[in-house]
Amino acid sequence: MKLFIIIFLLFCTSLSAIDLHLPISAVQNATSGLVLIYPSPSAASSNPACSFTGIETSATYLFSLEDLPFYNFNVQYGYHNFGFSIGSSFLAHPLYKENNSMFSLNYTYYKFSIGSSIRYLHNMVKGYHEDSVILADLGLLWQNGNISTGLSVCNVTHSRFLEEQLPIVYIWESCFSITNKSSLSLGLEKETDFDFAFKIACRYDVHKVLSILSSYQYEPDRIGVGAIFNLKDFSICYSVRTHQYLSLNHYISLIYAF
Amino acid sequence: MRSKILLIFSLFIVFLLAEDFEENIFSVDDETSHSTELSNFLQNIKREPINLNTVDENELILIPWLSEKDIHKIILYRKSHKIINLEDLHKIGLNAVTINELKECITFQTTPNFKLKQRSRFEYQQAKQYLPYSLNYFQKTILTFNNFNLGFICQKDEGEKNPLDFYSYFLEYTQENFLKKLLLGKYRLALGQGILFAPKLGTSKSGAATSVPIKKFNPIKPYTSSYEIWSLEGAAANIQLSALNIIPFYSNTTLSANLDTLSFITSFNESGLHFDEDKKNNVKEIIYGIATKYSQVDHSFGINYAKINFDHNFENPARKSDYSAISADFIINKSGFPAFGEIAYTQKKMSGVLGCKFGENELRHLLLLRYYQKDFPTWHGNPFSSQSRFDNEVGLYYGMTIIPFERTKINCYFDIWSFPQTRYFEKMPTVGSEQFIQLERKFDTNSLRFTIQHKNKEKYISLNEAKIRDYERTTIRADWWQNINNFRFKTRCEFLSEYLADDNIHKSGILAYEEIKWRIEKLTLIGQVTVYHSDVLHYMYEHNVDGIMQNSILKGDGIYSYFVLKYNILQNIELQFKVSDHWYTKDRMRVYLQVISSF
Repeated sequence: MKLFIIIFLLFCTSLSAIDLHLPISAVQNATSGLVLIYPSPSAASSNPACSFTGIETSATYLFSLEDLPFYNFNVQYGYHNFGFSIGSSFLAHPLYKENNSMFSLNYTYYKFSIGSSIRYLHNMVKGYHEDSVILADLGLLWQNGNISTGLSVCNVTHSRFLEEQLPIVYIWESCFSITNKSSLSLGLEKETDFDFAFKIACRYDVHKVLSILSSYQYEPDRIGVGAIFNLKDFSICYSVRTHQYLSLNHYISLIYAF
Repeated sequence: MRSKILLIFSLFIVFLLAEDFEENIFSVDDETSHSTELSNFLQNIKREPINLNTVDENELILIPWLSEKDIHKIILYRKSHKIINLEDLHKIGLNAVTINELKECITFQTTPNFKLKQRSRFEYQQAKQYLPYSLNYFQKTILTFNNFNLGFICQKDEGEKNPLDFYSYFLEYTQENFLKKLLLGKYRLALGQGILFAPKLGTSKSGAATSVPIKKFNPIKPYTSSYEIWSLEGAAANIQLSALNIIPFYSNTTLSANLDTLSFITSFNESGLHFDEDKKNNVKEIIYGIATKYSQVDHSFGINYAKINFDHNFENPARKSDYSAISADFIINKSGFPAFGEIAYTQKKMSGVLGCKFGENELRHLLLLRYYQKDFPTWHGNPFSSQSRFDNEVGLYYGMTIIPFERTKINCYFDIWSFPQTRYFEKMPTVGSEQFIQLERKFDTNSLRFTIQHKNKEKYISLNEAKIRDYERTTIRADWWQNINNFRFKTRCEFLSEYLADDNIHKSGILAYEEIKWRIEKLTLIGQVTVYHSDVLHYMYEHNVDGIMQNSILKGDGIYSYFVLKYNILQNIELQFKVSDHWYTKDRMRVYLQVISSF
């Protein structure tokens, strides 16, 4: 039944499933896609202005369905005021494959950062179509003490796939450090033809070794929870996120910061 | 600064607990008005301060501003010393803010050997004047003699002939040693997180987003509620063997049920109205079992077993009339991460609640997962749930309390749930969600509170409906309190809307009221005037005589007002009176008269 719903969602229209903006790491899965609350190398995929030097790799079976493995890999490196990032995500159903490769560049001046990414999106539905498209995203970030605010626009180029417009997504996020150990992030996401999605995420650093992430997203209603274990330069994040109709989305990520 | 924040926080807690029940009532779907166990407890401890030297540990847990650590310190100290004054509480290690909050509610004096408490209440509703015997009557008498409490409670609703239509009686013996408590008569049982046994009137969600969802109970208590069903009748005891508490219980009672032509139970009459004597107490229920609880400083584990038998079968074959139920519960409070839960099994069906609290004072979180299988018996239970009959539900609750600035507090919760099997006449599983955000700001003599509550659920409106509807209900409310000398003013503005998205049906309403409370030594006066213009139902909490938590249901265009008077005639006797009426509407007046005495 669940598999049927997924396949139905993927195939019901030719384009509704393309460039789904799925969370590409366990951290993003736990924070409902908000990235400022726990910066990681994959944050640039959501907001290209974000800069966090390291390597991150993640894997999940979407909605606990073994037929839908989803893999991600991101590397980010900083040099002076510049940050460079490359990343790739791969959804590997036998009938439906989607590959999203990204290169991003950001520049930080004083408290402001600006970044842009170029994405190469390749989509294949067996027996129907196979095509690719190039998209560009833009991000801004302002950090001042305990507050940081970011805005990003995905698909600023209004790129089209098989003559159809791909979604344009606006993501705003503000993060507040309430104490040394606790942070709160609020976000709004607007995708073409969809209502605003409100998001709230929290981070609590229990210990230098353990952080807890939790979040809620309204429209659709989803709750995400995750734990990050920090072992020197390595971090392992495990998270789950609910779905109204489908099973939990389990996610695991390995992060190496350098 | 730190202590100031704590003080404000504690004040908020007290304030919230007084007002939270208001929010609870708003979230209750059914239209009855009830008192709740905790609100009664709070009313009682202010009226009759509790003795910290003798109070039961289970009662201490219920005091909202005492932490688990504080309770443990008190219990340890009083084993070797007698607590004589507030200074002793400093010595024990309670902080100044907590002591300040406690001081009105506690005493160190040994209670007199003999005490008689009595409460008599009469209620007359003009709207029900056509009914014979239209007077509503409630009487509660509790006699305390040394370690014994002897009580009798009776109630007659409007339209009922028998002045003892509902009654409760008990003999309670309490002691600090081996036999901690023995109860004979009518009592209520509350175990773990309430899956098998809990008071029915406790609520799950409120403005206290990170505290109220956790169920805290005194396991056995006399049944003093006016809620006329689900009390147990027989005997129960609490036997203490070091860290182990053993609670055996037995009950043989009757319930009022609706029976079909084959005498199968279709439902139970939970309204308490017994106009037809033949349908009253027509089903016999026998329960016996044992609960055990092993308690240590920072953790406790319990195993509970009950055998339940109804002398009639249920119309629904999935519901058994004779069954055993077992549950296990735990609370672990390590490093400021209280985790709690209960799992229950009966009739090859499982139910469970699992929760965890984490965070700091400035940002606290509560996550609570519940899973109740369809047709799990819900008769005596009341765990965290989005509905009163809690079976067939899977859900996740996320509550947050944020104190971003001094004197400012934000409480919010997000609850999502699904009913995995069909319910009632629904043709497929449905889902629902609720969002609640409340911002409070306290000034020196003023308080402001903004509340947004939004509920979204899928439902079928009628039996023959082909499609499922997306139903939304949104409440936006602003409250303002102001204290001037002995006066307290409260102003509320509320906007409420209901929306059926698929049919584009939109209904809305507004309500505003002004409430004035004036208190001098022996006299308390409360008056309120409410104006409303609405296509939807507004549930509005209103003050009443003690022991009643009431919500008015207002719809249409109108003005509603009430007036409450509480006056200490003598040192031990208080007279309470209330009158309420809808202006320009005939026959809607209600009058309450209550006398409370304590000797």
